Order: sequence, then C-alpha cells, then structure tokens
Amino acid sequence: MASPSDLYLRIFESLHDPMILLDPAGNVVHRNLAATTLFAETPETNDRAGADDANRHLPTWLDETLRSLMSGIRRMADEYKSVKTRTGTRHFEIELERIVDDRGNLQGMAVILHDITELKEAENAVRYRSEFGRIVSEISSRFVGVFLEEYDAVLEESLRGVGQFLEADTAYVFQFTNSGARLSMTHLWDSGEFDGPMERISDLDAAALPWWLERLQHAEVVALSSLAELPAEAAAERALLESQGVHSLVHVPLHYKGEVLGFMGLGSEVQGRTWTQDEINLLKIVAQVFTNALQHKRAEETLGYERNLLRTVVDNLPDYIYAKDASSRFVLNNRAHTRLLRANAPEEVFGKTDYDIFPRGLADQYFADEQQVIESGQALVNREESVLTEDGTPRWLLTTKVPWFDKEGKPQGIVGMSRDITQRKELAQALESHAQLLEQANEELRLRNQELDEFTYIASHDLQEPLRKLIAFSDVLQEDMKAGDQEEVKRDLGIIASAAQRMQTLVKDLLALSRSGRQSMSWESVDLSDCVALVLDTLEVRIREEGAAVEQDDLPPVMGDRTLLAQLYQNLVGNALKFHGDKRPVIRLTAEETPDGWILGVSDNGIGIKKEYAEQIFAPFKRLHGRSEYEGTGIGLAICRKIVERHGGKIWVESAPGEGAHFKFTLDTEEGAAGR
Amino acid sequence: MTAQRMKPAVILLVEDDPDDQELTKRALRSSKLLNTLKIVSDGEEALDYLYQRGNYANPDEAPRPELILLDLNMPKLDGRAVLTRIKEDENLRSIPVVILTTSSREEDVARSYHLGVNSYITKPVRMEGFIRAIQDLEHYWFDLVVLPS
Repeated sequence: MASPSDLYLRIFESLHDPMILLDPAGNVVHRNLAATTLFAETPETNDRAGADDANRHLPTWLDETLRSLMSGIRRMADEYKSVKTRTGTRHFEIELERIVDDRGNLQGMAVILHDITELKEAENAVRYRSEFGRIVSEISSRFVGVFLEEYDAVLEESLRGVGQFLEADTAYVFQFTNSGARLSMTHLWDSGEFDGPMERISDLDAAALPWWLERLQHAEVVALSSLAELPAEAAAERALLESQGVHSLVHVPLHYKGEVLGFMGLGSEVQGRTWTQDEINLLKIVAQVFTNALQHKRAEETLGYERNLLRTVVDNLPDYIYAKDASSRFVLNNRAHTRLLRANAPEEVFGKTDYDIFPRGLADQYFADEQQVIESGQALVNREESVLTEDGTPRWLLTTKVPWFDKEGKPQGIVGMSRDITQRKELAQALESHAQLLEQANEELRLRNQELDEFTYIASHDLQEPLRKLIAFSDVLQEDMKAGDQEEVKRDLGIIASAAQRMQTLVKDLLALSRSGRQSMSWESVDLSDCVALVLDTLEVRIREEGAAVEQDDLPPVMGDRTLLAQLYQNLVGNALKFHGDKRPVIRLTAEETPDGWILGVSDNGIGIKKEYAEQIFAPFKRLHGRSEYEGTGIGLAICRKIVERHGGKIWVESAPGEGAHFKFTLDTEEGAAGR
Repeated sequence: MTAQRMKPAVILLVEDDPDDQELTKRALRSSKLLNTLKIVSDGEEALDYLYQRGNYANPDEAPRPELILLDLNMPKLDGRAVLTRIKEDENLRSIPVVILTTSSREEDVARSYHLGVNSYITKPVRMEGFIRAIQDLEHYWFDLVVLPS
C-alpha cells in the first residue's frame, strides 16, 4: 500500500494535463510527465541556466503568463493560452492554485494546464463556418436591388470581405471581352499592406496565356501555394504573377450556362500559403454570386442600351408618339408629343389623361377611339383628326392607334402615332381653291373672249354698213352727176349724209357702251327718286313731244353709282318713248319689294316684244326693227344690261307684242354688297 | 323652156336696209329683171311672202320667186333662220338662194353652204364691182342654169 504521498505523486504523474509545482519564488519544484513532454515540444524553452537549471525553469510563454497572473488581481483560473508546438497549435486553460500552510504562509503554487485544444478547434471550426455563412449571405444580399451604376462598387466591397476573411493580400476579378479574345481586370481589392505593384491590368491577349485559358475552359480551380508549382508551359502566367508580386494564389472560374465569363482570384504575398478545400468552396460560392451579379448587370446594361436606343429614336422622331394604359392614361410620350401636351418633361404628363389636357369634346372623342381599339383589338389607322395646340390653334393630325398586348395577349392599352398634316392640308386646300379660282377666271375669260369676238364681229359689221354706203353712194353720185339727174344727186347726197350721221352715232354709242363696262364706279347710297327726277328733266322735251304720261311708284334708296343708274333709267325711259306705236305713251317707273330684295322697272304700253326676242335685245347692235321703222344703233339695252350687271343685279323684260313691255331689274342690296 | 323664158323671172330680195335695196335695184336697172324684183325688209316678211300670208296673202302680189337674194344680218328673224326654214320646206327647197352680205366671216360662209345655199356674194364696197356681181349672177342663173320647174 503506498503512502498517501506516494499516491498523490502517482496521480500527479499520471495526469493527462500538464501540471507543475512551483516554489514561492516561481521556480519549478516538480512537473509531471505531460508537462515535461509539452515543454520539450515547445521550442522557446528557456534554458539559459544549464540542463539542471533548465528543469527548474518554465518555458518563456508560460513564465510570462504566470507572472502576469500572479502580479494581477485576476482570477487564477480561466486564463487561456494557445501555444505552437511541433505537432501543431495547442490550447490550454491555465489554473494556478496557491499552496499555503496552517498559518497562511505561501508554500508554493500548483499550475495545471487543462488541454482544451480539441474543444477550441471545434469552436474555431464553428466560428469559421458561421463567419463563412455570414460572408456569403452578406455578399449575396448586397447585390439585391442594386442600381446598375452601383454594381462595380458592391462587387469590390465583396472582394474586400472575402479577401479579409481569408487573410489574402489581394482579390480580383478578370473578365473576357471581345468574345473571349481579351482579358481585363475589372475589379480589384488589396489589403493596403500589400507590397506588390498589383494594379488593374487591362486588355490582355488571352491567347498569350494558354495554360490559364485551358484551366478556365475546363472550369478548373487553380490553387497554388507557390509559383514554383506552375508547370513549365505556364511561363507567361508565371512572369505575369511575379510582376504583380503574388506568390500564392487561388483562381476560381466565373461561368454561366457553360460560358466562361472570367475568374475571380485571391493572392497572397506569402510564399507557401496553402488554400484549404473549405476556402476553395467558399470562393466557389462567392464566384457563383459574382457570376449572377455580373450576368444581371450585363442584362441590365443590354436592356438599358436598348431602352436608350429606342428612347432616342422615339424621342427624336418629329411625329407624335405615345402609349396609354387601358384607362387611357399616358405611360409614354416622346418629346414632340410632350410638347403638344403642353408639358416640359414626359414625367409631367405621366398618368394623366386627355381630359386633363384637352377640351372635353376632343377628350371624349379620343377616349372613345382608344376604348374601341382596346376592346376590339383592331388598330385605328390613318384617322384624320383635329387637335388644339397650346395657343388654341387647331392642327390636323393623321393618327394611327394600335392595341398593345401583354404576353398572354391581353390588351394593356394603345400605342399612338400621329403626324401633323396641317401644312399638307392647308396646301391642298389652297391648291384646290386656287384651282377653283383659276377655273373661274378661265371661264370668265372664255366668256369675255366669246363676248368680245361676238362684239367685234357685230361692231365691224355695223360700222362697215355706213362706211360701205358712203363709198357706194359716192360712186352712184358720180354716175348721177354725169347723167345730170338733179333729183337723184340730191337723194344720193342725203343718203351719204345720213350714213355719216349714223357712223357718228354708232361710234358715240360704242364709246358709251365701253365706258359703262369699264369706267370706275362709285358705291354710295343713291336716292332713286332724285336720280329719276333728273332723268325725266333731261327727257322733258321728248316726253312733251310724245305727249307721254309718266307715273312712278315710291322708289327706294339703293347702293350704287348715281351716274350709271341715271343712264340706266334714261335708256329705259327713252326706249319706252320710242317704241310707243299708235298709242299715247303711258310710262311707269315701278318698284316691288320681294323677300329677295327690290325689283325695279320701267313699264310702257308700246309695241311690245315677241317672247323669242326677249333675250337677244340685250345683245349689242341687236335691233328688232329695220332702220326705216325705228332709228337706233341697238346699243342702248346692251348698256342697260352692263350697268345692272355691274351693280350685281339682273335685267329682263316681260312683254308680248302689242301689249307693252315691262323691263325689270334687280340691284344688289345694301347688305349684300357690303362685303365688296 | 321657151314658155318659161316667156314668163318674167321673179327675184325676191330680202334686205332690211333701204340703201342696200336701192343699190341692188340700181345694179339690176340695166336688166329686164328689175320689173319683177320683189322686196321685203326682214325675215318674217320674207316668210310671209313665200307662204303667201299676212300682207302677202294675195298670190298675184306674191308670185313664187325663181331666185332669192337674202341678206344675212337683219332684225328679228335673220337671214340664217330664213335660210333654214326655206331648206326645211319641201316646196321651197328648190328655189336657189344667193346670200348677199357684208360678212365675209368664214364661219358664216361655211354655215350657209351647209344649210344648202346655192351661192354667196359678199357685198362689194365699190358699186362697179357690185353691179358686175349682180350681172354675173343674172347671167349664170337665168341664161346658163336650167332651173327646176
């Protein structure tokens, strides 16, 4: 049976945890086997005092820890220490017990090193895992809802997170450009303590790095703890890495649906830095997050590019382009249409309807059209419609509205395109009215020409008549003079004189006719009673000679030319005095008010006119009677017609042979003529 | 033929102008035709004469003419209308019509021929020429042409 002392010693020796007994001065009095083994494995054992002494001393790391424990007021237990041994890092919880005698004097100290290495390692593994998870979730959540322009910053921030977590000196992303022909570093982080001249390398010739390229094409991870591990054919890659000051690295490809976009990498300036499978796994996950982010960015860029392109095209079209939702609210307007809607920017009209902008009538029309398009699914093509611009002037638009469907074919609204055709329309209208004017002018010209032709013919005929007589009877006169027939000579001379007289009258009347059509005309209020009184005064002698009775209705005031109207009455009354037949002339100046205005006239009880001649008497030189019956040039009524027509009226005759004639005419009313 | 020769040829002059009537008379003075010259002064009278109505209801006063000298420009019914009426009438159509006019307008000439006029004489300005034209006419119609009876 061993003494208690022996028993303690045996237990002491066989303890798995190292245990040391110290004297009050801190010198080792005793240590167990575990302690001896630990100290032997600890390279920094303090052996300054020789082999024997060495056994009395503690290793430096423990000595320092214990001294700080003893001098401090901290609890002796719970002190934790990691120590590197030849077999790896070990972790200890240090317990220090004071040994005192009955009187309380310090006799020594017992130190127990509880080996918690396994526990610690498990704990570290858990912490690493949780940190790992945190990093991954942090990185992936960073990319949620990121704006296009923030992608690069977020990605570099993520590189920092991974780089720091894995204690690398630098982290970076390379991407292929030019369909895989070039490689550029697009993102970079470095620790700040990194000495390497790592900088953004751009536009590398991918073909110059064949080994690398091949690894990427096979989606292989490249992990090197030293550049020496690179094979001989990777000389170019090695030179590149050396120039960047990287001695160990890990590269993980970024691939999306079989396409390699590039790779992400971590580098360290530490030679021999090994990359664990855990680390590589983490990088693979991060690479996947990066790939998604880059893909998303690329898609958004493409979308943005297309949207921009379309926007630019649509905005710069001079036509009005717009889209509306199913309730006819604007969701898109190009620049031209924005202006038409009286807005400065498209946002101002976004969500508004035509009712917010146009008068109700127009808005109703547009709304009805659009609902029809949406309900029927049929486009409205090339509808001409009017619209009011900002300043209220109407414009003409040629509008097409087409339905706009979602993926399921459900109508979402309409897309409208309108072209301003106001100018074209005005031009067409102007052209049309020009053409009409031209046609009118042509027709007038044609009539004028015809009239002139007729006039010239008749005029020359009528002028030739007296002339011919002058010449013919001069011949006759000579013969008669030769024959000495005085009676004949006298008659010949009479004929010659009267021919000359006719000629003179004719020329005078022609001049009057020409003047009645051409001379400038005044436009004033004319009291017809005054006008007529003057005419009757002029004709007084003839009225007396013929014993004529002249009566008159109340004559209204009219608008016109006083002189021309007087001439009109003079000719008409003159005719009435002339063609009276056997009866005593009774002449009446008539005035009759009708819904269309006044009908004025001169009636007589004379010989009258056959119905078939009622029209032609107004043509110049047209006479119904031989010269032997009634004198005259046949111009009087032509002048009357001209005067009435110049007053915008009409002249006609109502008559029958033997029953007198009633010449009637209208004049343009004051109101009707006001526009002249 | 001989019998016809014996009967004096009647000429109807349709002319509104008294001076021209005088000139025509004078041109015919030298010929025997003057005595049988009948004169009317407008188109209506001419038709009255030819249809023997109105003032010419007595057939003795209005014998059927062998030749009509017709002025174109006359008041009321003008020469063209008279010509049309004559040529539309079965009975009158065969009477030769010679237009006497101052008009030398192509249109008038063409229209007259179209209406079936037999000859066209533009009234010459000089008397001498007019007399010759009338004499030529007389010679042609009454000496050379066999007229339908």
